Amino acid sequence: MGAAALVLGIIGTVFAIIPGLFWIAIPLALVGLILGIVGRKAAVTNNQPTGTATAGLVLGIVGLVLGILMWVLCGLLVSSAKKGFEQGLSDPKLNQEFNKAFEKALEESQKQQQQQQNK
Amino acid sequence: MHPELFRLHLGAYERPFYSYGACIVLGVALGIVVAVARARRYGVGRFDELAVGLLGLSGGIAGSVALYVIVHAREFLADPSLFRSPGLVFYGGVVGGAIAIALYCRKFGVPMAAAADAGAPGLALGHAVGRVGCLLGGCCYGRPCAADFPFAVRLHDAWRHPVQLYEAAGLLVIACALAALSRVLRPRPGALIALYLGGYAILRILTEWLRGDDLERGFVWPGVLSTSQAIALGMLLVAIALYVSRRPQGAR
Repeated sequence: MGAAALVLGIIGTVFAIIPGLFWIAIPLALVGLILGIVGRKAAVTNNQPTGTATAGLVLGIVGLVLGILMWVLCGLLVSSAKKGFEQGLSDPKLNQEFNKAFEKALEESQKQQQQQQNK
Repeated sequence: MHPELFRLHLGAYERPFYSYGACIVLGVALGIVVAVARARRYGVGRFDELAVGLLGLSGGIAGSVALYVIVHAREFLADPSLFRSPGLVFYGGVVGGAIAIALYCRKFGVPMAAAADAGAPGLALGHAVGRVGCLLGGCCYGRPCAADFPFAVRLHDAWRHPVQLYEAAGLLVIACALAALSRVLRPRPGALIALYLGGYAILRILTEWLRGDDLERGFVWPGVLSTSQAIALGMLLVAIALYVSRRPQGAR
């Protein structure tokens, strides 16, 4: 159990550092953490060495902490991007400019089509 | 508001660290340290208390994500990429954490009520630190108030009540009260955690009046009782029942 905790803790920590993969890291680190706790407790009661399980426990904590930091980061970025987008949509000035640009682009494409037909 | 704490530069690797996440981690760490330091007095092993804290956290995360996914099951099935960043439902976290702690205590013969009491002041302290993170991150804000109000903060284009700080201060008071009462209440396991639950429920009902984001979270009784207040009211009743049902050990 301690070895499984260690492996999950290592994978979880590595995934937590890689941008965009924290959502895999958090469950892995969580399971590693739980296995580490239970494994260390079982090792203590059976008078077996606790090193592996303790290392798994610590790496589980590290992976979880890093994963949570990344999660908050991602959540904030997504929500602020969404807010900015919605603000842009409801802004009348921006809407006007967008419509103008759109009409201009439409006219130009029509012109190009006419030119091609004339040729 | 001060969402970004610092930015880490390691060559081409650049990562911002947000104060909200940092406050959550700091609050959890502080709470667990206080809980572990108090464990021996309650006849709970230090590692057991650490395990209870970490399992409560793990079960809490798992439970709150699980409830969020269940509530939004239809959207998640339609768009599995949502799993990358699911939201959280706080009350799912409470249930998940409680289940994880109960399983551990039952399996390894740890007195659950004593472990909970040892952790109660730390829990309140960590909760307070987390609320400061809310202020820095700009969530859980209050309704607009007069600009010359002494505590007013500038948040989301308005002067507002710093409800996050009111709550943090209240939680700090609760933490101190729990620490002060712990000696008196030690023969009555479970009473301290009941006081935390009840105290926070009352605090939440009071601060909710000043919150400006209650429209997002809905009302049970429009204009009078918001969803959070209704749940807090239920929590208060549970806390009272828990407190009353706890008899001093040896007096039975």
